[in-house]
Amino acid sequence: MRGLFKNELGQIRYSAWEWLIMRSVFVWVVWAATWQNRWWSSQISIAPFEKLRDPNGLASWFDLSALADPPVTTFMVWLFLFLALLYISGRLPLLATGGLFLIHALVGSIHNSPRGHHHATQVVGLILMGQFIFFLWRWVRRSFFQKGVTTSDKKEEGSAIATGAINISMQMMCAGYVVSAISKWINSGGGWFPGARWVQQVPNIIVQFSKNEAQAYYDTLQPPVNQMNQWTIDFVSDHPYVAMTVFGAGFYLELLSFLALLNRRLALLFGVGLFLMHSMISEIMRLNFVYFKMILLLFFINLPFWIYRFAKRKQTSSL
Amino acid sequence: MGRWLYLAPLMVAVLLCYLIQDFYPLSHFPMYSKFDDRTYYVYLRGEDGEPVAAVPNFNIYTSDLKKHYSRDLKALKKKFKGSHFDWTAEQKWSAGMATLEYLKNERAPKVFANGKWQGLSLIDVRIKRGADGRLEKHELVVGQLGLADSGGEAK
Repeated sequence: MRGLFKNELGQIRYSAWEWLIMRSVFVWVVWAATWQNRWWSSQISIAPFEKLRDPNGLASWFDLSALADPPVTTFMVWLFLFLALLYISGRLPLLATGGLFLIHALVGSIHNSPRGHHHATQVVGLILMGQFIFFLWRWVRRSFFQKGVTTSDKKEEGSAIATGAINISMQMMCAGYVVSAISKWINSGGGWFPGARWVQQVPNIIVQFSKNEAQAYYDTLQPPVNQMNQWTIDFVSDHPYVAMTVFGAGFYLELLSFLALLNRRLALLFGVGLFLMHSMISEIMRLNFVYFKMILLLFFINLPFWIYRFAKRKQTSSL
Repeated sequence: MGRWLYLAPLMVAVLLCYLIQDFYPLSHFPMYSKFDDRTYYVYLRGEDGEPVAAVPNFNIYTSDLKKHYSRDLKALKKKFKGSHFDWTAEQKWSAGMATLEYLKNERAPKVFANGKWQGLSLIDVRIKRGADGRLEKHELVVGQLGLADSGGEAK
């Protein structure tokens, strides 16, 4: 518990190797989110299944139908792979993040239309956007305001890039959680105490559980593999106050997620808490939170760092 | 205060997401932002009265089918007063038919070739959490291919 709530904003330093691990995995999260979990270029198609109604994002400004032409799609897939390699290597990060963000935003605007129908991959796009803005800001600062200022210490330089890129990624993820909590607070009726009305409405969640269960059944006519959903419906019906407490905790984890940025211990704590929250909702509501969970694992839980720290401490104490 | 300025990007992102709402990748993440005591879903039923699996037969999830039906129901709000939770099957019939027509003409036209799936119907199921905290369900047929207008209690 020592130092758990210590405010280390702006003081946390990340190592270049942490950023290397994170970006090497994150780029495949971006791949999956962009190409809808298809892994081979021959399988990838972004031809919309339906005519785009109420397009979301760039598709609402431009006619993107040309992107659905197989040669154009193939070109984008290979361009993505090239940029992914650049991104992992750490070379030309402004070009790599900018290019990947543009492809993701273009394809995502088609896959996520009509507006408001899907919310699974937005956090991936937000993080890429944040990383691109970070590298753009860094480039502008160096080119126009700190001309000639360079650091000869490569380790220091690598750590500065890692710290900025990881911090902005975490901030964008937290922004997603905070705005989600604000939407819950306001859409459920507002009030002076954040989330009080939303928590009051929690027992009604059983109608959603029941709907999700039925929809999953009528999709394939296969009976549910696990009985978690029915168990939860019965449990919430019998113990509404327990359900309000559990879901209330989830609401405050989202609203206060920015506290994860205060120090590494809080990042781990919020990362594990939010990961468990998504896992529970996945089980009960048959919703997939794979992108959220992967991002939490990479940027918040950050296991490689804790393993390194644990090993280092053990080594020091044995000397 | 100075240290909290490090969170400026987060604050700007929250503000943008909330104000713009949905412009990919910006979003205000409105899923489950309120829980009403009632909701609904739809499913498909064959001419023989048995449910039909939506994904293997028509390559569509029932949740997507519902989104189309919901949009068509909203369009009817200009015509009928009140909430569609209180409407009759006859009032909802044109929305149900529009959803089936979308399925037949836009989503999966090949599947319907040679008159296949004649008599396919759309069932609207309403779920309510009753005063005792338990669930109540009520089904209505709100569209059937091959029928111009009808509607009523699902058998």
